[in-house]
Amino acid sequence: MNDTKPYEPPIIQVDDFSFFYGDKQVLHNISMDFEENKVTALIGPSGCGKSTLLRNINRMNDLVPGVHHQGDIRIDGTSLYDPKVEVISLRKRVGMVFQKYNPFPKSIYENIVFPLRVAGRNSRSELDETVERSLKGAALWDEVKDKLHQSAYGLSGGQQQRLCIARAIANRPQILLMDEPCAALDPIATLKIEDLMEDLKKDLTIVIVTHNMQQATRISDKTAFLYLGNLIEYGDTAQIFTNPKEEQTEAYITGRFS
Amino acid sequence: MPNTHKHILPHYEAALTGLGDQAYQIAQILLVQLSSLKEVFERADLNRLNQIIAETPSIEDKARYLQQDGTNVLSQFHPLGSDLRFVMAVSRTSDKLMEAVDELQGIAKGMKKELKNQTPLFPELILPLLSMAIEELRDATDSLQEKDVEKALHVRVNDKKLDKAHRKALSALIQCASENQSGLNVSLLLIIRSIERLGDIAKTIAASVVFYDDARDIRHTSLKG
Repeated sequence: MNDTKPYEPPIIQVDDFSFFYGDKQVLHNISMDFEENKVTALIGPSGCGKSTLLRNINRMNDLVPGVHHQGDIRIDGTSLYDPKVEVISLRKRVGMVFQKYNPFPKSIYENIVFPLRVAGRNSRSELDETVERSLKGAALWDEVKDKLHQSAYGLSGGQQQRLCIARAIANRPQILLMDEPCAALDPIATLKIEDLMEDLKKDLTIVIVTHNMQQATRISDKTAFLYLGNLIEYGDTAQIFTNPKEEQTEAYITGRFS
Repeated sequence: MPNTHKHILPHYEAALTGLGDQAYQIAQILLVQLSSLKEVFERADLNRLNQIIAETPSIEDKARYLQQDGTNVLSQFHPLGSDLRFVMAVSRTSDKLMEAVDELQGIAKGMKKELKNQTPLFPELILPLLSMAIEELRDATDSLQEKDVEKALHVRVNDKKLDKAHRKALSALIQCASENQSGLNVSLLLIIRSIERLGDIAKTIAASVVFYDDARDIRHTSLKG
């Protein structure tokens, strides 16, 4: 019997990728693969390039003046920078959740269906199905099913962030990018989001930026440590947090970093 | 790869240092008691033996407090990397020191029984074994304090020698019993078994030093491996 794991191609391939804000290089020749249906945490001190790398996965940095890149990022083998790739369709496949929850000043229902309406999809049954599926997916349905047409601003912070996750998964993306999604939440709301991520990864691939190393150990399968725009170490989360190979990783995770 | 730089939080650094120091101090007290056992064997000193038995609960308490302190460091500071491995190594050591105290008490109580019955203690068999076990324990706990992996690995080599000496002592006791047509002295058998267990305990403490150093678990590997 062959015990070897079948080869599963990575969903995201970052290939010798460098990124510049004008003359300032903020990512240096990053190469790494992200595995499908896994949570990958990006950790490192402020300014190390984690969020920049994350935002490049759905080309969020395109609108920043003076940016340019070298190397490539591919999703399912297709370069994000292929001229045939439309940014709008890319972002349907790659959802994003930010540190500060940012629901629209609309009802809970309209927040969820907003991406569908923008795409011209107005079928009532499709919208209703999407709202229920997305809110259930974000573990929010039971809490809001009786007030779907009330303002999203009436929800607690943790609920608003889960609403943003529901909105991000409404279009059934393959990948969900999360930039410190729990930074503005209390511990209970944080644990709810973490628990939700465990469920979400059955259907999608999650890349999360976090400063909370305990959170990274709890939720991620793989962890990458970045420092000064360089990928210092990337591996299984258990290995990174118990036995890092690189001195800089060890110094960072043990708090002996200067 | 243990980190040699100071932690950003001084009280975290102090807590980690405190754990190591406590483990070392408890080990030193235990080693003094074990060395006293040697004197008891040589001089059949029942008073000293009673003193040793009376003092063992306080050593066990210290080891228990150390384990609690290790848990406190885990919950307060959430150590990671080599710090996490260090706390785990100290926690395992405190557990093993409690077991060692049990063995010390077992040996002392067995000796007391034999002294009361005025049975021969066979110091020529027991003392070399006890000396080997003490040396192993000393090397193991020193290796944790000094973070000396070479010394820790050497404990495994010495434990093989202790195992061999233990088997030899067993055979000698059995042979002696059959030659004298007396029954086997169960207390003495248990004493040498406890001494052999002390060696195993030292070996486990030494293995946790290796784990602390590079996350290798050598407990179930061969000496060559």
